[in-house]
Amino acid sequence: MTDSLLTLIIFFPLLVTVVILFLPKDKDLLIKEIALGATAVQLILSVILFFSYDAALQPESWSNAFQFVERAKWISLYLGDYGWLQIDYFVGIDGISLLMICLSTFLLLVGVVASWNLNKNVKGYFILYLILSTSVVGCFAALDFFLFYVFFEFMLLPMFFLIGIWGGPRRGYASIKFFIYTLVGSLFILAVMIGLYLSVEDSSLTGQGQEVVHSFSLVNMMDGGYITDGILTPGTSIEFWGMNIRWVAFLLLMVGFAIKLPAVPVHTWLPDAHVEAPTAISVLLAGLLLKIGGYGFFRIAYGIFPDAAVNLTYPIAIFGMISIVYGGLTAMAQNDLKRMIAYSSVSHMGFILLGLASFNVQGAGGALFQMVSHGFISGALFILAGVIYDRTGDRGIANFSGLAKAMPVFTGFVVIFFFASLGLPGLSGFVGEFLVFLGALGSDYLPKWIGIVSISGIVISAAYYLWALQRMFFGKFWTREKVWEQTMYDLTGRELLLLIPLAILVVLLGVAPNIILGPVNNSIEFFVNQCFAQSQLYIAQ
Amino acid sequence: MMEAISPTYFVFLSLFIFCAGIAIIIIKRSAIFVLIGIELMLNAANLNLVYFSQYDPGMNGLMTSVFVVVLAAAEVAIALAILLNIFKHYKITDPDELTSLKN
Amino acid sequence: MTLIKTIWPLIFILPLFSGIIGGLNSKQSLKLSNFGIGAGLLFSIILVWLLDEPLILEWKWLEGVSFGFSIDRLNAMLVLLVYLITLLVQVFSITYMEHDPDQGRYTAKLGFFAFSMVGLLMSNQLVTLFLFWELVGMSSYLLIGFWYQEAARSKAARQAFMINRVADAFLLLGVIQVFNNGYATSFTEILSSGNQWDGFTGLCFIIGAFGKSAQFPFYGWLTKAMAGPTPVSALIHAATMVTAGVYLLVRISPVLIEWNLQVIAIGGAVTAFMAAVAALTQFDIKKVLAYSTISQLGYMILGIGVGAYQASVFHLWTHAFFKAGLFLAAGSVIHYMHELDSSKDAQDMRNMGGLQKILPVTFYAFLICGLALSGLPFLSGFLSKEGILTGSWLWGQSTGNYLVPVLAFCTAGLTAFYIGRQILLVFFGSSSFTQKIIEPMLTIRVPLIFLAVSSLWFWNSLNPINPLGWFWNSYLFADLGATSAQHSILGVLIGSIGLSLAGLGVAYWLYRPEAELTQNFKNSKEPAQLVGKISFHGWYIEKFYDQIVLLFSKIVAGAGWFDKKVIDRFVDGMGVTGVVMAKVIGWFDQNIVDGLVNFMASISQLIGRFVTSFQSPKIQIQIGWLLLTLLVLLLWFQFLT
Repeated sequence: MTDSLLTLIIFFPLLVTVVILFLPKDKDLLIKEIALGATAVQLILSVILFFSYDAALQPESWSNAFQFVERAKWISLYLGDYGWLQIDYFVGIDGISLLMICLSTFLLLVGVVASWNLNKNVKGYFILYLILSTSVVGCFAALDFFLFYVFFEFMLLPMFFLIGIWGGPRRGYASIKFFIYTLVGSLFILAVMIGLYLSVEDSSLTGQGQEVVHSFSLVNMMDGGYITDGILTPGTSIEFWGMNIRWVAFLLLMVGFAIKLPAVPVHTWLPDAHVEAPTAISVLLAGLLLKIGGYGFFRIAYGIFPDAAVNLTYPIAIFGMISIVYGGLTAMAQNDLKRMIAYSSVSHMGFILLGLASFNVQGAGGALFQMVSHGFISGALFILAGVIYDRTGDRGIANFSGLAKAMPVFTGFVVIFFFASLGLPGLSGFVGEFLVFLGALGSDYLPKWIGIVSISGIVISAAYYLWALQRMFFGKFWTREKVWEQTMYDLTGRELLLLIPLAILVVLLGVAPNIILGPVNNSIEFFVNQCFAQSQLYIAQ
Repeated sequence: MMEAISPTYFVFLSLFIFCAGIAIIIIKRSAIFVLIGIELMLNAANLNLVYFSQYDPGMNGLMTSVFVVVLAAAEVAIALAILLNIFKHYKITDPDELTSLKN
Repeated sequence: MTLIKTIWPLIFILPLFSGIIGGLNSKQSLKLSNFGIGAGLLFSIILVWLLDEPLILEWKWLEGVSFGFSIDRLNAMLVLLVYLITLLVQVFSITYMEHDPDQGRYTAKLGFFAFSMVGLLMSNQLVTLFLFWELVGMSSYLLIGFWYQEAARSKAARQAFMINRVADAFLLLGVIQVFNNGYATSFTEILSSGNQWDGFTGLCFIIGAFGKSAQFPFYGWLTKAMAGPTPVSALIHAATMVTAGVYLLVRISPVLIEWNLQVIAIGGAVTAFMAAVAALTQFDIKKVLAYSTISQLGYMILGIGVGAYQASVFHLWTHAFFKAGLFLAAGSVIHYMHELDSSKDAQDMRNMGGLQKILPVTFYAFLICGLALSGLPFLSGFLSKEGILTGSWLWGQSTGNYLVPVLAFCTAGLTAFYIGRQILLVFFGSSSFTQKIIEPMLTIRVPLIFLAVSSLWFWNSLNPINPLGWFWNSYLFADLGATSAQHSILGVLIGSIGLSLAGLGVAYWLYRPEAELTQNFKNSKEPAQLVGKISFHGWYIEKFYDQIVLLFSKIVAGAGWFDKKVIDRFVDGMGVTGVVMAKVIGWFDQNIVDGLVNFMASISQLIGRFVTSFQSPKIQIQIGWLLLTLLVLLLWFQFLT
């Protein structure tokens, strides 16, 4: 069972998609139930994955750092002078991807429940949804760059349609903006991928002939299986615009993943996409798709180019700092609740950049924890924003006041998640921020002032959340349109079903963060140590 | 054995017949006459073949002319059948007026 | 010890538990919750009774970061204090909140607060402390904004939280500094390691403590916090939460370096003086008390700075009782005023006067607690303040810096004056109230009497003028190392008694019932002259905040503008440029590239047309042409090659 567990998790939804494909179009409820079942199975499988993951493993090199590895030849082509092209179906996880997969499967299940009330072309929606879930999980498990890229790009298609068909009034604009932004980002990644492919060989396969076997395997890339004179081989003297080509490649990757993350100044697709996307898709967008950017930093940008990363900590940290502060400031300027939450995501994603830039265990662990915790919190926040939108079709902060009177339970949840997001200790948002600050201020590579300026982010986030809380939920009960007052009923059972598990998780992770950081601690330590060791090795070359 | 006739006459005769055939094909408007012209041209060629085959011990020219005769017969039979049908259908025999093959 | 191990989790969790129980049971919430708090009080008495050596509990929270509690005598005593005041306040609230439909929510929030406060006091690890520090801030936010339907109150709650948050950011920075500099991360280790912190780390902690304890420049939040229900003000914003900063500084004072301590001393003295001045001219009964609290907290902070931290803890203890008593008495007055005529501002002292006869228990409680605050002998406040004044005087002598003692003594006089003024204005004078609606009920009387009696000297020290005779001294500080070599100074003793008598005397002279000021007080407006203005507006600290907020909102607006007009405009511009480019290329493709192809096509068409022009559709003519061409070719080959 555990031999092919990963493949099962990845492709189970796709299998179910085939089943849904043959169902008649009008069996809405059945389709929803099947989708729910599929994501539930996926979640159960990933829980099994979490518990059968060997936390005690202390790897020596990347080649044995991964568990649940499955590898099969996929494409093998002889390209004459260019040697062999070898693409594998190669999946496996370490602690970093383990957490991301568990987060994904959980949020995917939440997303199905959140879209239960959907009634417009249900079949198409859930087919796209399940395709998306396959590609998201696949992205986190892929150990072959080509496979990663395929999953990475494949995510775009369902997302584009999910926003473009089921979205709000300006969905066309938003979905195209999202698509183009992400596509541009992935072009950068593609360029680096080709460069890496040309400089990496799979030494285990070279024996077949005289030709070099080029490989897309991320493990080979991270372990430094470079050919002697490839373009991106460490120590290369090739320069591009006066910069070492490895630095250029690293920067291209950073830009590519920063668009996905998103970091300032390439973040403007996010608010538009969020505002137009339906609630469940917002949850996935904030909870998962942004994390793929962060995961890309970990696995690809930092894992493969540690030498460039260690030299470029300063600008990365500054961009992280700018994202934190600037994202918070712009969040405060928003009038739409969902836009505000979207900008707060930008601010919180800045912590990931800052944590990675600090290049130590605390920073990296904080960045990882921040990804998980932000997945839960922002998911819940978008569900909460969706609740108001469901009732009234409006989300303007200025259009409501004193909602606590009409919806006390709802307000209770809003308070919990707002405080979680503004980093109240005891809730999960704090842990990531704390670790990142610990990393950033204790880093050997960063000046103190970057960390100190970033700490002001916790004041700013408190400012906009509490301001929104005061304007929308406190004061006299009032809504812009009189008819809304009748529809302002409190949370339904389904909404409670969504929010209670999220609230429990947020509290649990805030009180005992080690339940998820403990099992993956070895992975994080290995990641940081290996990045550091290899950066020294590469720089010496 | 008769005294051999100079080949010049044969050539001129065949030339005449050939040219007459061409003239008929070009000038005459009726498809029937065109067919006749074609027959004349074929037989002009046959004449040459038959005549010059006497110098060929393998008699290839003669054999060819027999082929040509058979071919011509077959061709005429089919052509006439087609023409008959066209005439039945369109009441025309002028190939220029026949502009479409369908209906 | 085993008993302690059994009851400490109960002590820790009972408030939360009783809060939840109370929250679920809206009708009987406060009464139900009192059982929980009462049980907790009993347990904490047992704890204080049995505890002899510190109990430390720790477990791993994160890699390299522990989560830990410790129970030693100091926090056991303070936990007891929290429970005691919470119980009294809850009992008081039964009447105070009887008409409020949201009692359940009130009880739940109170329970949550008590839980966080107990957690804060028990915390040993700095991270744990920070966690509960923030939870306390949050529960304060929730309680200040309890009447959320009034926009002004929820706004005040937000502002109070934000000011705290700024200070908390510094505290977080300090905690992180401790981790990154490799200092001991728990109070017990801090004490045993004996390392000194660097000044920056110490300063961060000081700023954090100043924020929570409402010291300059953060003291503005405490006056805003008065928007909460008055019992809440008594509990949180007088007796317990605001002393968290003092508690923290007491804990870390051994590792602070010299100039850090000076900052503490001067900050405390300046705040004590400023707040005392601000209390002089207020009209709002709670605002006077709020400024008075700030001023007294300044004393405690000052005491730590000058090394008299035992006196500070002593003052923390006595202050909790008499200030809670003052607030609850004020609450009783407000409750009465509100019941009488809810259209008038129930907190404005200009509407009061002569309440002595109508609310006798309240009056005596207020009088005793007020005099304790003013520092008259035979009352608890005198004893503890005396210790601080002595400490400051000794510090002044040893450092030659007399700013701190001078400010402290001025404050003593001012304190006596403003509290005397308040007592006179609220309770004396001609009574316009003839209705005797509510003589405070049992629930109100018991807490008031208890707090008033607790403010007498004999609960603390048998000798009414010896500040070192505190019963708790040997219990608390025996294990905190050597007690500082203090002794009473006669001059200080006389000076402080003299100053408080003088303050009360001046207050009586100016505000005695038949005095001119008192007569005109009902119609008085806010003061016009500069000193009065400064005092009335609390040194314009809110203007200062407003300026910061204004600046901040300008930055926010700028960032929003920038994002929308520059970055997004740029992206949209890129998009538009792309579309324009596409159009241009499309035009080029259609007209130039495709045009070339079409051009070629049309040329061949032209040739074709030219050729067909001398062609006939006739088959026979075509054949003629064919033959002619054949002939020409034939002739060509025949003759020309």
